[in-house]
Amino acid sequence: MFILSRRLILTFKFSLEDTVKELRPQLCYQCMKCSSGCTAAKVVDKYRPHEIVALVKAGYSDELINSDVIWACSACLKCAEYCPQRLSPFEVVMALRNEAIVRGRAPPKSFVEMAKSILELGHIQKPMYIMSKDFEEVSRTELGLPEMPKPKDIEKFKQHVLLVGFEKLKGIV
Amino acid sequence: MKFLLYLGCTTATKQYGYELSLRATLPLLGVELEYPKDMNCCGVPMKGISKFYPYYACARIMALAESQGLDIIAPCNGCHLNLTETIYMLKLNPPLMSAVNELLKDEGLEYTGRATVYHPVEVLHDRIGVEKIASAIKRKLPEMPVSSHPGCHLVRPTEFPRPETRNGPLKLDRLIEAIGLKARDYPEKYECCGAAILPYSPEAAIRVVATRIKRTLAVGSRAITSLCPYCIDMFDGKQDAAKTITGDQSISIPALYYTQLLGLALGLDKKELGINLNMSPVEVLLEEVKV
Repeated sequence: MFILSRRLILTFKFSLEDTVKELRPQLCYQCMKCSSGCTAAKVVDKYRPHEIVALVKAGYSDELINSDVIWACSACLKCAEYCPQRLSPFEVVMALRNEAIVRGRAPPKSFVEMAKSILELGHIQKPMYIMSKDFEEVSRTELGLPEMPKPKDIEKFKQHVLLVGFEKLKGIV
Repeated sequence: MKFLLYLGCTTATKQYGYELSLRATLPLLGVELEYPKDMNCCGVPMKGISKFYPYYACARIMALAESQGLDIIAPCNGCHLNLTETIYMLKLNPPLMSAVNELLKDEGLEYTGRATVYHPVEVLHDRIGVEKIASAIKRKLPEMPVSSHPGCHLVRPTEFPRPETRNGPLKLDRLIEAIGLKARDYPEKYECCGAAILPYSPEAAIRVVATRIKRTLAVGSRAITSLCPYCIDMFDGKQDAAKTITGDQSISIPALYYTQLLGLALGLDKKELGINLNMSPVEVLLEEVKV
């Protein structure tokens, strides 16, 4: 059994304050370039990355963490690419999501299912049966594909995954 | 050329057409694929759960490749970006690197930074080459307009080296022209397919892909192609849902993996390429290319 050093636990400890400090939201001058190109903003009315950055900058992170709006990001990274101040609204949103997990807020159901599956199988889902155009139900074996590989020592893998941040999900899963 | 085939989750659990076509076409072009015995998720959708999980997961994948002395071919844009990002972040952050290695050591693995990661578009375009593909094909496909959708993570972020850039024609477009088809641009080519919004709101995600499909139809494209399992999952599998949600019945276009088109040009059978697993109206395209 491998013994966790204190240093190791500290390396994988998430801190919103430190992460946000690195992301420098104070540099934002609200040009709204991120929101004007944002994929999610076009289809989710209440999601506006420039507003999220402004709220974090003004110290309203708690309100965001308690809201489900932070889970709408589509991770297309356009906001980070076009920001004239080279800061990343995407990373700010990811930091808020991490903090929401640390505080025990439940993410949308699909994320919980994916996380559960990673702990069990090492992948976000099991190989599925899909319908072909000839109405046959097929999966990997029927198609002659080899079995999907799993982590060799799944128990150790699980232990490590829990250590790098999934521990916090325990209350939710 | 020999690579370790790291499929990721989406390709290996539902996008079987991509896996079948990769396994069928690449060996014909002189690429050997080794299938791993031990693999895990790269952590793209889990970034919001824990920012550290992707580092551990990707370092583990790279360490497995190193233990076999191979480089990785990652056919998913998300996996490719996450693996590249991990390589850079761990090299820039030695304490994180040693912490990750401490965990890997417990599993008998070690990541040193030797192994690299390739996307199929790099292997096809940079390593094999457009000329070689053009000379290897058995027959040219008809000159019909096809739109490529590279997918976000193939072009962004420019912080890390990405396989494609927005300056000049895409590698994917050159590959499309190499097999006889015509590459046609469309206004939302570099945009997101919306796949990552699915867990939050399936309806919103489908509205995103519906606008993309309408744009490709507006420029007269006859098919849409990509090398990302998330993009094709959206373009190919969500057309019926897009019709219902937007009420627009004109949303109908064949969506295929580039490797499936390449396989057709190499004279392979449509079943070998998994084209019968595509949900979009691929028959229209098959009739035109006469298979």
